[in-house]
Amino acid sequence: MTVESMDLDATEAWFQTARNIRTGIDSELGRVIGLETSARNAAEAGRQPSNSGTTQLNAVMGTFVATETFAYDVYNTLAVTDFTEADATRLAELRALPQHVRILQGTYAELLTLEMKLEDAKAGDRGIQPPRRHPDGFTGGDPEFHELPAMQTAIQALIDTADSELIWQDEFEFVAFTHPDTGEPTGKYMLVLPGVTDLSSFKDDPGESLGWASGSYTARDTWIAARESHGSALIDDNVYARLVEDFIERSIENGDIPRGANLAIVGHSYGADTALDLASDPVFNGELVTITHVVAAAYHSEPQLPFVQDHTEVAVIQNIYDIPVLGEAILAGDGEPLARLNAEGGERIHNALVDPWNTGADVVNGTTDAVDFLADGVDAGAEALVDAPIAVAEGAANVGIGVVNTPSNIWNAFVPWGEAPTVGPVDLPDIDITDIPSIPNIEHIEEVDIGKTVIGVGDNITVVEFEGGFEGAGHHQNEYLTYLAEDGSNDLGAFFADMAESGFVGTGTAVSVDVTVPEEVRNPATPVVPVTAATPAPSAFTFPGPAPLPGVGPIGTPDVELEPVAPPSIAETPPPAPSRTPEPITDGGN
Amino acid sequence: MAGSRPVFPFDEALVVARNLQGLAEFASQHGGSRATTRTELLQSWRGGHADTFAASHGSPEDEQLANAATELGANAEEWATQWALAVNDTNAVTYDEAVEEAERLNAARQSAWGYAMRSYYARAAEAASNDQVFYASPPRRPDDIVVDPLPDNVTAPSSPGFSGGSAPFAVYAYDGGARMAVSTAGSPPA
Repeated sequence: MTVESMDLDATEAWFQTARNIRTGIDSELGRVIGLETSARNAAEAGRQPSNSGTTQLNAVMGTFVATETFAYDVYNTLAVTDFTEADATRLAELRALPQHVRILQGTYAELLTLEMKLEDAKAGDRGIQPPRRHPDGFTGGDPEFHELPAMQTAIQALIDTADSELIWQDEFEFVAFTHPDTGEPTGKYMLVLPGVTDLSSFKDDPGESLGWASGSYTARDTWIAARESHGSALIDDNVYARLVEDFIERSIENGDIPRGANLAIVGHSYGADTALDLASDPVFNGELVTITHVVAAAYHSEPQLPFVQDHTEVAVIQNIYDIPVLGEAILAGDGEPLARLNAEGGERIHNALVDPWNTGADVVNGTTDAVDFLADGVDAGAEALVDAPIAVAEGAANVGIGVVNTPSNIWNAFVPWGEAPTVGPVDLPDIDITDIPSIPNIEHIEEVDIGKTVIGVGDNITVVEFEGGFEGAGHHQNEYLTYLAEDGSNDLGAFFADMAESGFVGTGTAVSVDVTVPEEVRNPATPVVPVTAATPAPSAFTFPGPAPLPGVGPIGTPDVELEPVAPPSIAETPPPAPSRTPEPITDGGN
Repeated sequence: MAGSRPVFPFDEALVVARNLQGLAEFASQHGGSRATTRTELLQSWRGGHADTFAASHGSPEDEQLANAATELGANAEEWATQWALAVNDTNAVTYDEAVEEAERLNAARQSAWGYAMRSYYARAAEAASNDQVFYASPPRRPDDIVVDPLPDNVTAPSSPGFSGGSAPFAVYAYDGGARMAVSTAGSPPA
């Protein structure tokens, strides 16, 4: 590594000396050039000596200036960044930090959590951390103040999915509801599963977005994790779900939650996909826990619904202008959402996106391509959908986004303006619908009981599609929060009443649980480092061992004594019996 | 016929020469100081920038400055050489002018002598016709005026003083005798 450093004081002194010398010579040169010019003018032709010396010296003055400029630029760079040799040494130390993190993780997990949080709170930590307790806990709906307290619980959970300070990029939230008077666990638990973290990261770093996010290695990854899960209701195809399952397994093993406990899940986007993958798994949702309610927002969930266990109530909420959801529908070969846009929806998307939401012509063109494609897809029918990724990829190419030959191109085309759900917490009472011009007429246009009319897997599933706005390509949590605040009680009143009756209301303790993808999963060829007594190798699932899980179960033990354990990796985890069904969905379904 | 005198700034030329030489020395001296301080500075630099600074800026700067100083000295010598050439050319023209002047004077003197001879023989003839004895001698033929040769050629003043001497220019004067005498002056003849 090249180390750049200088003595800034000495350099400053040299600037003065060098400048004085240059200006002194330059002054003399100017005077002599005056004499020389006068003499030359007075001499007849043929008696005028060359002036090459003064010409050359004048050029040297330019060289002097260039030298000083170079030195000044270097000085300025190093001075501004204050990047001294000591800094360079520090940088080298920091570069070695991830390695140290892995080695020391088991022993100093809590300390490292603090340090890594300081390093980059939002970017994840690249290492497995024990759950982080939320100091303020979780506040769901209060039956005394809310007509549908469970809907308020779902609203708060969705708000949490948008809070990247509360739930980091490589985390999800786990809530243990507690008795308001005693603070004891009620035996009701909730998973809050945020969606992908890199939905729009290609805008800044196309190469980065195509692999595991190097800043966090989060399971909430679009290009590998979410894409792999797309088209399947199996948790084996969903690393996010597998890590959630692992957390639940260990919490049960540790006695933090009882086996078979009632569990609700609120998921947004890929979190909704993961929620339904978990709800479809008969081992997870039947043996480990009992998922009683799932709120799946902002995901094209329909292909998964036939596989959800019968005892689970599901509320699927979709903004018909949620363009990622439309993209998922296209990939799933489902033209129904497109059909709804055929008349005026496409035009509305076009107008809304072109005008207030975009500033760059390229994005406008890309949007137009995407909208044109939507119309083409509807017009051409189902066959056209087969070509959807190609057509949309061409649209993506038109906006200058790096294109690779994967179905994820559709994301590039659909959400060039998209925002990762990283906004801060939303203060719901401050939301004034009239201040959001892009949502002039929130209208509940359809409520479909999938169990009765579409798929026929039971009557435990409700799909609500509403006409929302366009924030974050219609995908942002705010669109869904607004819908729930306005019409949730009408459309999903029965669902939330049942959820409240099941006990998912009130306050609780909450933790953020790490879902950093272990290296052996990211790169199966990587050998597992043997564990030694002196340097316990970090495990992907190093949770507090015998000690109570912070924030879950007995409260008041923030200084948990961490004891590293080395459970088997995901790859080594034997599949629980009975074997997981159903079969993978083959016709899409992300 | 004498040619035209050179048009040349004799005084200014040597001043320029001296200043060019002085500038060369000044630039070399202070450029050397600059190089020394730069070398000292680079001892406090580490990394690629220091290498670039030394190789791409320091060395070229020193080389260009040395070349420029050499050229300035050469230009100073060139001015001195031109000065000497101009002085000698001027003196040559002055000599030619003196020769022309001498020839004009000689012609006038011969003409006057011829008149005197004719006058002499007329008076001698008149005396003979009167049977008088004419004792006078005929007038002596005047000698041609000799023009003094030019002094030795002026050589180019040397560095660093580039002194051209106090009287490099030849000046001719005729005192009525048979010689056009040469002397020297600090400025060319008017």
